[in-house]
Amino acid sequence: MATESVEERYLMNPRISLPALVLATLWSAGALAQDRAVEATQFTLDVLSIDSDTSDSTSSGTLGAGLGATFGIGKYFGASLEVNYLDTSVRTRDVLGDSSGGSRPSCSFENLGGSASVFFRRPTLGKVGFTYGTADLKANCDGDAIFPLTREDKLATDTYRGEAEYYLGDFTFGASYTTTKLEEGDDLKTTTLNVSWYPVDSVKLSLWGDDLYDNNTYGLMVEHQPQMFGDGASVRLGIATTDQSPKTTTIELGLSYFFGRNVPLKTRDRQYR
Amino acid sequence: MHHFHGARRIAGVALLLSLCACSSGGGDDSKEARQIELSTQSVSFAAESPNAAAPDPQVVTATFSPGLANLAVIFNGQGVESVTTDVSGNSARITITPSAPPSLGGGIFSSTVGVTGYFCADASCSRLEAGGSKTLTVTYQVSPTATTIAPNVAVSGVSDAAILRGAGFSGFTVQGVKFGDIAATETTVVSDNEIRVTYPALPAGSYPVTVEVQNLAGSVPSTATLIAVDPVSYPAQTLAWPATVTTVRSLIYDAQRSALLVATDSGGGSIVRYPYVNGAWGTPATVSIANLRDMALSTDGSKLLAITTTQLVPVNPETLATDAAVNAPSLASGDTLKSIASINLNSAIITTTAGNATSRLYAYAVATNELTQLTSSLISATARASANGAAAILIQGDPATTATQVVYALAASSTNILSTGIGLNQNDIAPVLDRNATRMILNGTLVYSYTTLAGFGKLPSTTLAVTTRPDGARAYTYDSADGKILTFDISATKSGDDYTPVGTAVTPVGAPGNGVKMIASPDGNVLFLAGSSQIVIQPTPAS
Repeated sequence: MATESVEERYLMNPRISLPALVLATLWSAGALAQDRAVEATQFTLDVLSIDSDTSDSTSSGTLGAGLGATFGIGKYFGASLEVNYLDTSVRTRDVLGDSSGGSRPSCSFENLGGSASVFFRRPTLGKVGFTYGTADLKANCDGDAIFPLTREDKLATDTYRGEAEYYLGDFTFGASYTTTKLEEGDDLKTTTLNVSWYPVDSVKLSLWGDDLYDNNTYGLMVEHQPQMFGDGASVRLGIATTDQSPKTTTIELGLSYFFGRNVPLKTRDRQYR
Repeated sequence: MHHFHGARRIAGVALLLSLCACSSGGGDDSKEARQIELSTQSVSFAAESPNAAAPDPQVVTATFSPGLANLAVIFNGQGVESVTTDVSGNSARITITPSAPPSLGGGIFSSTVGVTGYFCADASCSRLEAGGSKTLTVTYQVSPTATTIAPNVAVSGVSDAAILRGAGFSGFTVQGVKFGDIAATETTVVSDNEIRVTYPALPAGSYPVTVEVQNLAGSVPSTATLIAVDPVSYPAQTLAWPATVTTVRSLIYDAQRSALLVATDSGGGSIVRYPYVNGAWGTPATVSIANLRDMALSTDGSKLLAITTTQLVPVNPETLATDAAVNAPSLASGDTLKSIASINLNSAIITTTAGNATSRLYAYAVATNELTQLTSSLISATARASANGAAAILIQGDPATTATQVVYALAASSTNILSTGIGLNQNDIAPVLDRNATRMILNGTLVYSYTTLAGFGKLPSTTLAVTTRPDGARAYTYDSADGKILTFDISATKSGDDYTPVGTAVTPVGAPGNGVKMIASPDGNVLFLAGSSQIVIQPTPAS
């Protein structure tokens, strides 16, 4: 009865925002369950490899690693901290070819970043959260590679993201809105929608899309916690593509190792990370 | 509950399908975004020689789509030294700086400049991915160049060999060399900066030397000119000194201008020039140069390079006007410049003396007017070069001692000063090389093959002065025994034995006096002798 009264009040007040409504719904729904936002602190080590190929242009390969920690703040809230490093090497042969002689130039981009998130979660229903991230991008190319916004070879970014997930049985529906500030330039605003399906508790199939640069990007990701890893690690394989010209296709292969309690992937996603 | 879960699964699948539907049909599949355009697809540079300054950089404008995160400009190939980018709004000025020609040498060099726009790959811009990319072809031609030909004077009607100097010959296929419109009969590329040529019999005149190469846009720049002069037939006569002379330092016949140039100690040092005009030797002109020690004509004949005890003084060989003297840098106290010989790099080697001690050599570059101290040291060496400038002999030692010293040879092709393996103590007679450096005569009496350094034979010990016919087949000596000119056939070796005179000994029309210097005209028709008393002009003995 208490839940119904809260929902009625919010629905009758048109000035109440949608996120507030979602938060209130989760809060009220959470009163029925006893699960915590984060069951136990978890540390995660991620390594990933990304191949990005742009038609009639340059392809690149990215290797990266990240270290993250997720922990609870009281019963309903959680937080996570993450640092990551990505190194993207451009395949200069794609643009220069092999015919001109001389040594082949190299070109790479480095990203070193960190982020902090706080969220409210009810494992039976979903979560809402906010993330702040900061990173430094650096170009290192034979020749010249500059970021127009800074007119230098480095660029600082600040990212703000609000996100919400709704758990519906074996499905998770998510949406996020990200604003990334590139130095003093215009903000890069992106809305991302995704839906994940757990056909079994150790496998997740995700479909997502975003409107980065006002162009659609779509991706499909499969993540699996194999039994051979004892529910302590997952592998994921993803593919994404854009609908603009030139078209970029991205393939990602990642491995996550979880320190701490071994639980099924679905449980981990909803109660541990 | 079971039905409820089934409904949620159906809803989830429906949502997945709707996202897929958006993926395939919700957007414009050919949206033009993340593109980049260049103002041109090709850039070309040209340098007139491997020694030229680098051409000015060129600017290409790139325009790109809004939202570009990074503009990367990379390049390969040897022709581009660097690229820099200056971004303003949605365009960038890409400045392409070509490599310095000396670092490339002659040739045609291709480079590719790749311009790629990078955009954020994800919402937080943790990674960049390529947008559009364009390439720019850079073509850079560094032309070969011909600078000098040595000897720069040919005898009309006579085919002979010469050495063409320049730079960048290896970067192209040399098809031939021309003298005016007349092709060389033989052309051999020896190195990147040397071509050996044989010119045919040419009428008297001036012949710009040109090099023809494949795939060169334009023609090969050349400053080399071959002057063909008619053979001379000066009658025997003497020329008086305009002022008292005690010592003759050097004697040069300027065949290009039909003039005799003599460096003497007259008045503390002077150069006397006797022009041959309208069938007679004209009034001598004189320029005083204090402490004059030696002189040589530059390879291209444009400068008379006179040295004093401490300076090099460029002199106009026609007017005797002097340019600013160049001090010998770091000349040790007590050392003085002694002798100079021109080599076909349009430069000269200069020796110094410090009595019986070693002293440093110097090099002079005619084009840059730079006098440089070398690391090599010799004992009071005397340098003389062949007319084609391919070689110079450096003989050292001091008359006050009997110790033998190594004789060195400077090969212009390699610029190396190498031991000949010959040990001698020099006397007052400077070494002699024939036109094409096939024979050398040391200390006035010892005949060697320059090619093999084998001792061929000996000339009389009574020799006061010696020279060779330009082809190296004859040696002419001025002999102290009876004051006559003797002729020797040195075309063949005597295996170290004495040569015997051939033909008839000739008594010159006058006695030159003491300290005689002797040279032959380029055609070998006339001998010039200069001593303390006078100059003697004597037709070459027939033999």
